[in-house]
Amino acid sequence: MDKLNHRFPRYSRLLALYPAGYRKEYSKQMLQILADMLDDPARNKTATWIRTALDFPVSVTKQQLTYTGETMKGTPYYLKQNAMTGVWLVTPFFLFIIIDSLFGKRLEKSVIWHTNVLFAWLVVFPAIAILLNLAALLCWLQSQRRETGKGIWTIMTASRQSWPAISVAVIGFAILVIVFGHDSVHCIGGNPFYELSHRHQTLQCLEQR
Amino acid sequence: MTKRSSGLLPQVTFSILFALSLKPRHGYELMQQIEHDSQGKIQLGPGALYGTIKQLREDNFIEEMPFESDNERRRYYRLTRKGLNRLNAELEYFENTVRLAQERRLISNTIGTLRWTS
Repeated sequence: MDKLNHRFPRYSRLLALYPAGYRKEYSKQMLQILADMLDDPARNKTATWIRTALDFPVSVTKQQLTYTGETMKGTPYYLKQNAMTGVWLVTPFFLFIIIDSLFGKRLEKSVIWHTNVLFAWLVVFPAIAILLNLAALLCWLQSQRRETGKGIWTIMTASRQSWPAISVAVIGFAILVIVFGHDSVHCIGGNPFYELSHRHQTLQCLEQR
Repeated sequence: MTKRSSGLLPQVTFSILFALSLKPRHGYELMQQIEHDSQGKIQLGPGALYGTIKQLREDNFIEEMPFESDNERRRYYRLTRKGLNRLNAELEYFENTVRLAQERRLISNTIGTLRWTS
């Protein structure tokens, strides 16, 4: 650790949130510019910290999104295509939740559970999304293993190319869990803080179902 | 940030190119020059400044100068030929806009502010 890392320990730790490439190139310069700003007698120190604090989250988000976008450029077509299709397939569920909330209904009282056709769609669509994305993911992992000779876990953690497929599959799975467990949705579909702070009642409610 | 190559540059991007048109500068000098040029209207944080610098370097509008300073944290940046051309194109647009505004008598021939005409 050098001088400026000692001077701004929190800020230098927060810089770790930037993508590695950006951090390597610019983190030292960012520490230096912060030091320059704070050392400049013409500047108000509080205003400098406020400016830096407001700038930081926006900048980190932007760089992470840029980095993810750059990573996605190299993502195989089938992985992107299936993820996009998956997003469309899980969207109706969220649309119903939005529509329900517009009419002041909670999830457990949604019209979804009483309309067979809608219910069937909501089971079939997320299931297709899961299958499509798991299939694409397996194909990609297989090809990566052949190319790099690395293990599956290493490949998945080293690259963000698999993230969209994994995210869509997880969302699809979560929807199916809610759809099949809808009898107990009202036990967990309310205010999560309340439900966590009243764990006993929540568990009792789940047991009764 | 500078992806809209056919359109106008975003203000921060333009300000950095404009500030580098006089001489190569390091980060803090750039920040000060931008604040001076914009009369304090553009105030960048470290993240916004280096985010734009990164984009400009990728677009080959600016480049890092060969390492000269004894402080490795102070990297100097300068305009490339492509960056200078882009800046000139931008200034030409502004020049045309000012000329049009003068022809329409929205501003005086010297420096002035837009007048409200109902």
